Amino acid sequence: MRAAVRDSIVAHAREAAPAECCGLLLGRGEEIVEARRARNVADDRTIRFLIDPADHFAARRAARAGGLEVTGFYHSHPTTPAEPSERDLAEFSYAGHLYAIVSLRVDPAEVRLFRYEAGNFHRVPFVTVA
Amino acid sequence: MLRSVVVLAGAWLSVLTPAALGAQDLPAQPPPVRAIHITGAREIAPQVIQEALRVRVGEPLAEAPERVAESVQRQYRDEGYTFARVKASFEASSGELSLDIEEGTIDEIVFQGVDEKLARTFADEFALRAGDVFNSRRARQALDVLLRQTRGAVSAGRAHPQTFTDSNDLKKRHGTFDLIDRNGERVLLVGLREPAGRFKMVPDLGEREDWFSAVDGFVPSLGMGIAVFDHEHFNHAFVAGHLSYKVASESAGYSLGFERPFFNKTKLYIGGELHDLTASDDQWQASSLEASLAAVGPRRTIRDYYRRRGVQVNGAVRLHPQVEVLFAWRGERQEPLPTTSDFSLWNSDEPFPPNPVAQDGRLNAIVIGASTASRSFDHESLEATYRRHQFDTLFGERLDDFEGKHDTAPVWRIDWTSEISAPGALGSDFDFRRNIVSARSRLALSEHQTFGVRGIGGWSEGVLPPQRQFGVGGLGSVHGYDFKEQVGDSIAVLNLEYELGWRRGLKAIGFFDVGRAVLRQTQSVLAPPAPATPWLKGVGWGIGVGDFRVDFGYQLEDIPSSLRVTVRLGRAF
Repeated sequence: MRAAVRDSIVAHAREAAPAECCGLLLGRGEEIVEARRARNVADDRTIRFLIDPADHFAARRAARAGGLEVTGFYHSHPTTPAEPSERDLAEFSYAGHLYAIVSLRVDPAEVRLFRYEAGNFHRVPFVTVA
Repeated sequence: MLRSVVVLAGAWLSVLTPAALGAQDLPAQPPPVRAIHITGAREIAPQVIQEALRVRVGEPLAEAPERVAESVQRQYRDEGYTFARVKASFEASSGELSLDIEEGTIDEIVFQGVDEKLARTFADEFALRAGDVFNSRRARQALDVLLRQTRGAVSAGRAHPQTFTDSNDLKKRHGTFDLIDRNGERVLLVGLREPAGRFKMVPDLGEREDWFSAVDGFVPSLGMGIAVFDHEHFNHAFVAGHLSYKVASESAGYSLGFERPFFNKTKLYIGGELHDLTASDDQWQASSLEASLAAVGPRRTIRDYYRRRGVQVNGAVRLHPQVEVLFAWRGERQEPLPTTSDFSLWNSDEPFPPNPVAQDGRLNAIVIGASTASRSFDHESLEATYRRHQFDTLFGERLDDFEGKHDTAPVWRIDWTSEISAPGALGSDFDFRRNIVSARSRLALSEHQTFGVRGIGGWSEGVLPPQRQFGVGGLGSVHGYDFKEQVGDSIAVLNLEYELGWRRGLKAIGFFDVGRAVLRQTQSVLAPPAPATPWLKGVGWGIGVGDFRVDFGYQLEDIPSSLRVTVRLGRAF
């Protein structure tokens, strides 16, 4: 994951708090090169997120135009750990995609990456590159 | 057993095969796959498709190319790309397997089932556009977001294609989305329904009147809700009705009202209601279910009742999704209700506690108030909004539950109401002004710890009739005391609760309550000053499972002899 991506999603999480932020991760293969912000249109944004479909499709169009893929999604947990919640599992799970979760419960903010496969989230180790 | 059969079968084959087939009779070995070419794959990466194939470079092609195409198409469909099409071909001479994928790109979107203007609006606002690849899950999310603003006036229906690209699809296609070929363009049809309204009639279990009370006995009721949808601005009109028969008092109760919002962003709600109901000012202490069960079971009273019949005109302005100001004019007759029921499951040898005599008279009053809450009022049902605007309880509404066991966002709400009744301008038989401010909050200290706090302050001027006097003590106010241990024309209550355990499971509760209801003293130089009304202080603990809990409450100054055990079927606030 590029450092700029990590910094971008942490900054987004801080701006959105106490609500959850969300967005899409664009990249190539195993590399995440861009984070695209999306509006959270969930009913109660302090405890859940729903990526605005308009932003979702716009990000996919941009990825296509830029020769990138939507490799995953990110969202924040303002007060809870960087672990997928039951709601994350129930509501937002695209097979094979990466899920970055930013927790603001600790300082500095913690970012963890997961991949949704075989019906569950599996933690994925990652490195940050400049 | 199975293993034996397999082994035997294998031996049989090894013996018989060479004898049965000569070398020249062996079927031609399919040529090996030397290269796999995938074109058109963007949404699912080609390497992911290749990994899922049962075909490997260097190995023979074990199945027909059509089967390979079907398996890739199935992979796409599993990921939500319903309209993906895959063609496969195999060049035996070169060993090249080619997969040509059309992922389901759409050229146009047409909304069906709604009028032309709305269809155009939806087409403009729908997140999915021409050039996008159709994915059923994302399309459904986009449609849900689009339809949410209609507040039920438009719902997903069935697409009705006029032509099909493939007639075999007819049986398979019966969903909200369909893709048709129109002059070479791939047109996505979105089927919608635009019902004129909604009608609901259900048994009413305490929404407007308790289903059992000492004053009415059993009260079977029907509740009715009719929504008339506004398909242009989504300002739906709502008609609410309630009809009951009070078995012991042999009388009927009813309410019939309506409400409609106006304007787009800052909504103005206007409504009105006719009613003849058994009412109580004590709804803030216990739920209707608890009050009914306490009366029909052990013959206890945790609510005082009076009759209200008349009319109310109400309005509200939603200044922000979380902020509303409310107003109402009510003109009604309020009357006392005697105890008429003698039924209870237990303690039938005791009389029901007497229902305090309400002051008979015409109440003409203006009610103003404001509410703000952590959760948006926009997500309330039409029924819930209507009920809240009726000011049935002037002590504020109960808090919403946490949404899940991991939710930690605080839940809170603040309500203010002022009821002004005056004989002069309003022509009322009552002369008082009563103001109530209440605040409630629940905080998740962790996944297994919750802290709740409620504060109620009430004060008044003029002469409060008995049915408007404040009461403190007992279930839902201050533990360890009798129901309405103190009655007065001002009130202050503070409740603190700490829960440890599982939100939906076993939990232990600790609580502390303090409250006081004070009756104003008439000043007289002759009479000695009355002693100050003491603060009631309750403390205790409880144990519960889900919403069921048993509280062991004590008066703080009289532990343990003041023990009172109460059973609750829900949170206090």
